[in-house]
Amino acid sequence: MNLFSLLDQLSAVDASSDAAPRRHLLRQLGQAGAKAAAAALPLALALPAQAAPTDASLDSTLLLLKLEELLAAFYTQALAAGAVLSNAAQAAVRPDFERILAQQQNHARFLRTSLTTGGLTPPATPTFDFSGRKNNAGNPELFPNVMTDYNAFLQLAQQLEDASADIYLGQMATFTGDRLLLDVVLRMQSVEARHASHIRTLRRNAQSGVVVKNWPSAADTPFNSAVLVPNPAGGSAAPVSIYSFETNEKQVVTGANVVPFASLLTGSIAVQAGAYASAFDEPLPTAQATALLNLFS
Amino acid sequence: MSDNLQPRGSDDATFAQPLYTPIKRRSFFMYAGATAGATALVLAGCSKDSDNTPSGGISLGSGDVGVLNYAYALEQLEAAFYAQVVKTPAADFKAGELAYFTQVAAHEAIHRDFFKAALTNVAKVTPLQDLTPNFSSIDFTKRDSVLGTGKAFEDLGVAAYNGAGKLLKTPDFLVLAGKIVSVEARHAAFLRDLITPGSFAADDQVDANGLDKAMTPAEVLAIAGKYITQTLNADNVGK
Repeated sequence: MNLFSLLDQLSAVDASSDAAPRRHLLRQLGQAGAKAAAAALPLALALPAQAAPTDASLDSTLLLLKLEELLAAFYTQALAAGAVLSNAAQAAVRPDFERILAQQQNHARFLRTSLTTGGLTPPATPTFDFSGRKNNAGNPELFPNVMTDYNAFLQLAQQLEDASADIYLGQMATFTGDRLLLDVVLRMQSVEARHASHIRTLRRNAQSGVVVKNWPSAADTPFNSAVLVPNPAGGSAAPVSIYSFETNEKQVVTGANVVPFASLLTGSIAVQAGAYASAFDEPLPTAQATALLNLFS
Repeated sequence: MSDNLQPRGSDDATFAQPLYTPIKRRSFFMYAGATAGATALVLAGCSKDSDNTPSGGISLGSGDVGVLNYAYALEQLEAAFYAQVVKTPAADFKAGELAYFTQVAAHEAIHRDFFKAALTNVAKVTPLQDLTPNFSSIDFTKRDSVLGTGKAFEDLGVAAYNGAGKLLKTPDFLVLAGKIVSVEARHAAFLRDLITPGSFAADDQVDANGLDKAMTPAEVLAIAGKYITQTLNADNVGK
């Protein structure tokens, strides 16, 4: 790592102007990523973007912002609720959720700042309703007791955190044009995975007899109230669990190029076949991610 | 989705201004203070170190192939570690811990073979050679030693992927690396909670902005190299 090498890079970048206004705004978004991450920097000059971000990276930023604001609202409501995370048994884990909340809030703040610093006005934070009633008492309650019953709360927390890690994976490729934003997005994604793993550990500790590994697994005990998202088959096909995307046993590198696990892992290591799917987290596609967020707002 | 975004015209001018002269820009960063400088450096990665002296050792290669070989080297190390844990389990493991390590050993072996296959079948290159681990400093008979080493390897792996992801030029490889680091982070959080409950995303690994650690290949190899008999050279990884 060489400071002067970096400075040379920065000084060598010329501030070319972009013709199309939208393209121009998007380029600013990339610059904003650097600014927001270096929050303490009173930059009079924008850091140069590595390349012009695309429309997709803006939409991804908006999606991730809503995700992080949903998670922050979830833990804010749970910590404020009298019945969950407040009894003597749960007092020990309350700091864990305060930590998770703080990290989600920081992620949301970063994404929001990235937009505002780039000259864009982010949408207002929605009013989230974790009962699944969409703020209308007349709607059916999809997730009963999440703010009163610890196990119901943990079940939804686990699904939201697992989905969060996977939603990040689904958006990641849109940031390849901007290494500054990509750097931050990568580092937020692995924090989401840490949260998911921790909540899975808490669930295992809270309920004896429940099978829940630290990664999505076909062996996991089904949920009382599962988060369902649209079937990728479309049309009238029945909605599917968010975990239906995690059963992927093939890893396609590019195009039709599949890693031949079956021929690689033979003999004494053939037993690993059952672990193909759990060795990789899988992206949750944008359509399913959007539908998931809309369940609660 | 983005239609409700309105540009704030007043800020446009600031962004549109040409940069000041290079020397002023350079001066700004030089005097911006240590914290700011460090942040900028982390963000910029390490793509243009021009004063690297050749450090010798086995070259991991350049560009995406270099990144894949780098990941392959780390997964070889992790897979070898967990294989040894399973082969000679610590006598004081608690209930369920050996079963856990057996599953993680499978994950890491799959990751290792994934990269070998990606290098061979997709990048069409000869992968990095098989490495010889040196675990002489690890006491596999003690639970504390195994958990502590496992945690160190997993946290290092997460930081390595987080630092190397942005060096990849092929989006497909980036997403695949993301799928793997996500599982490594799950391993790390599990081991951290076993050692100290509630330390899954503690301040020593996740910074005040809620960002996980990211390290350059050189920083990672300075630590991981202690456990590998061969000397690896990451000078051109991602370049």
